[in-house]
Amino acid sequence: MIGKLSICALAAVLLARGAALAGTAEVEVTDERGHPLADAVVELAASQPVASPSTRALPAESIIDQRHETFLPLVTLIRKGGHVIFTNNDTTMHQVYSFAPIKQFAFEIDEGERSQPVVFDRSGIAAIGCNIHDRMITYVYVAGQPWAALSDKSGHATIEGLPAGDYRGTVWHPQLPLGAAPIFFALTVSGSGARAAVEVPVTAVTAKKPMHMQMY
Amino acid sequence: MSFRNRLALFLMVTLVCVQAATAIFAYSWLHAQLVEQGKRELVSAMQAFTRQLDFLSQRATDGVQVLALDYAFRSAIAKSDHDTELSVLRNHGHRIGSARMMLVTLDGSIAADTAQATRPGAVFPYSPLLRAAVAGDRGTALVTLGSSIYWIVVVPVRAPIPIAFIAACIPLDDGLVEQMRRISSSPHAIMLATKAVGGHWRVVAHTRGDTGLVLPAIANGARAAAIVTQRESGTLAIVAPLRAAAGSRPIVAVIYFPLEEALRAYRGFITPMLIVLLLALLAAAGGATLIVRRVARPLEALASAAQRIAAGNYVGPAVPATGRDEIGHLAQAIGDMTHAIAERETALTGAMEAVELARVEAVRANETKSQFLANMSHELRTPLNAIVGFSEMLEQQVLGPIGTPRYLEYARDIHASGEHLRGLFERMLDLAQAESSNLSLSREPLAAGALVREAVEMHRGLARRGRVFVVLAPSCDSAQIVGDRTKLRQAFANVIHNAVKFSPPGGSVTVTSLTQAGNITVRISDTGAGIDPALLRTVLRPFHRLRSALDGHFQGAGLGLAFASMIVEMHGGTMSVESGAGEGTTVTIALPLAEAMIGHAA
Repeated sequence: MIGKLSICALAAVLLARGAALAGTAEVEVTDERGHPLADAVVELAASQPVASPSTRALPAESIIDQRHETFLPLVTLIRKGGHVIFTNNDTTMHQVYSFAPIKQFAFEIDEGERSQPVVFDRSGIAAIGCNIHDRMITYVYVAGQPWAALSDKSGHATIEGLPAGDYRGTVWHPQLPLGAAPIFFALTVSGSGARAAVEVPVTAVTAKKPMHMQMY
Repeated sequence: MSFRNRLALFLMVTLVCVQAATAIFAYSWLHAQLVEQGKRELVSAMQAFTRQLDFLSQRATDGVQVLALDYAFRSAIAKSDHDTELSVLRNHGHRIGSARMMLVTLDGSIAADTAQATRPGAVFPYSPLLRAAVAGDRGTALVTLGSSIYWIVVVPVRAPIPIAFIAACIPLDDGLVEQMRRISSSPHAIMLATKAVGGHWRVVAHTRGDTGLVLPAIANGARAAAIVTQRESGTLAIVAPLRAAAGSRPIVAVIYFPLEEALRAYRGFITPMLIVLLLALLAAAGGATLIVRRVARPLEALASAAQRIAAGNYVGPAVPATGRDEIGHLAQAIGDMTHAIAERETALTGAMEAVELARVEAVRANETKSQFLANMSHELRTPLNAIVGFSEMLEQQVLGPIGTPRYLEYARDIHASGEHLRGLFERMLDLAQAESSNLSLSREPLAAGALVREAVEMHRGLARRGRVFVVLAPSCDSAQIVGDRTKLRQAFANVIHNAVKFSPPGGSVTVTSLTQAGNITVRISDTGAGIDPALLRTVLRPFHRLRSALDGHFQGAGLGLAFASMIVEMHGGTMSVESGAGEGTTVTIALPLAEAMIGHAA
């Protein structure tokens, strides 16, 4: 028992220490012209075994809203096992579907309704569309690692709670060509954290040229 | 060929040439215009055709797109439900008129094929179309499969990201091409040709059968639309390469039309035009004839007037004055000229008549004079005979001696003067008779040399007294002439007398004779003062005496040379005088020999 307890205690101490030693990675994502790129998912995987925390740092539930025949947000990052709830704030019905290998579903949402939670228990990317409105598209990125973040409008992606060590990072963006591999980068996290800049070979769209389905 | 006909012919030929040149120019201009217009039409027809092609390919793409968004189909793909995929493809292929439908995976292998000709997992051969389709470009291109041309339309299936591709094969057959031709409102024929394996071009779709006409033209297939003119077949064509899929054989669209077709509209116009040309030619011929007649008539009138004038008729109808043009001026000039000629002729005729009158009067006066002289000589000779005869008797004291010697001397003078007068009268009578053609010549054979010698001998005494040396060159004694001995001797004597008389003391007179060319020529040369050339013409005329170079007095009656000349001429001979002042005088007398005369007479 003691042994068990001691192991548990050790683990708890280690965890606490790990948390105490955790660093923060700041990743700047830009497009090929050097402009900030939003909606890019930065995911880090430790190159050596580290104390692996649960992916609870990532949200377990996310809301994807449907407004003006558009899914908002474009990219949703959830942890494996998390779920997504679709809300319909349009005046029309939507038929949400996914043929993604990680999760296939289809259901209708009436105006003003809220869907049942859709659980994603496999990591990967699911492209979700509306069978009524072909232009509508949204992506659910189910992170396999505990360390992942979505870049904001200024291209910043911040991943906290990183134990010191070497990491292999990937960056994915919906505008990357179909079937193209994500962008890889290496990152070493020390006590004071780490910084990285990643350029994704796409051209960031602006509000004037919103994305639609034909662009993916 | 008359002037009128030549002028008419010239005008006609000119007209024909002008008309022919005009017709040729008009035709070549029309031809060039048609070709240019045809080229423009072909370019716009090709533009219309390619637009139609684009439009139809867009429509085909839209047709396939409908299937790409079909939920059930996407669901079947997601579930890899192969049978459902095939049946959906087949069903939709019927809807849109596609000959063949394929489902292509994202990695480019064929997942389903309605033709079932491909083995499962075969690679879709037109992968660039897949990339174009997913990039949002038109995933449409033409390909040659077997002996047909197809549109390959590739559309990505999005759910909502691409999960597969649908590829449709829509045949571009004769029917479709004909339909496109009708829509494009171009009346020209269209055909599609592809380059066969051997490198030659093969027609795969056409709207008209005469494709062979232009096929060789596209052998050099251009990268851009190019106009091709085939002279041998008279075809105008535009050849444009179409967008063939990478890996497929080149495909060209040809729009063409025979120039004959373009000219056909004008062909109906040619016959009336030819008739009009013919009529114009006839009218022109008539006009030319009229013009020529108008020009030629006054000319002919002028010609006949000129002929009339040449014939000496100045009083005929006047030359018609035909206005103020050149011919009018000519007619006026001829009229004036005629007038002048007529006036001059009248004056000339008057003058000639006056001259003739004067001549007749002169002849008559001369005859009268000769008659008068003859009469006078005769009348004077009778009393002179008495004077001479009786003075001779007195001189010879026939009836007894004359007491006073002076009377005898007077008688001698009277006799000598009488003799002189009688000789003078005889010569005058001879001359007068000769001039009045009353002199009769006897004709007897004579020895010319002897005659000349006799004449020379007669003047020996005179020459001695004047101390003139007379030389007679011995020759031609045998030359025979026929004539009057007395008259000829007198003629020679007259000439020799003059020569001796006008020679200064110490001078000489040379008489030579020779026969040549049937004549005997006798030359009598002296060394006298000679005769002024200006007076030479007159020395052979009667009563023209020359001032003696010796003493400045006239001597004789001026009859000697005139008489000699007349006698010589009456014998068929000639007499000429050569002289110059201070050079002496040579008189040449030529008389025909007897043989020559006989020959001449024969």
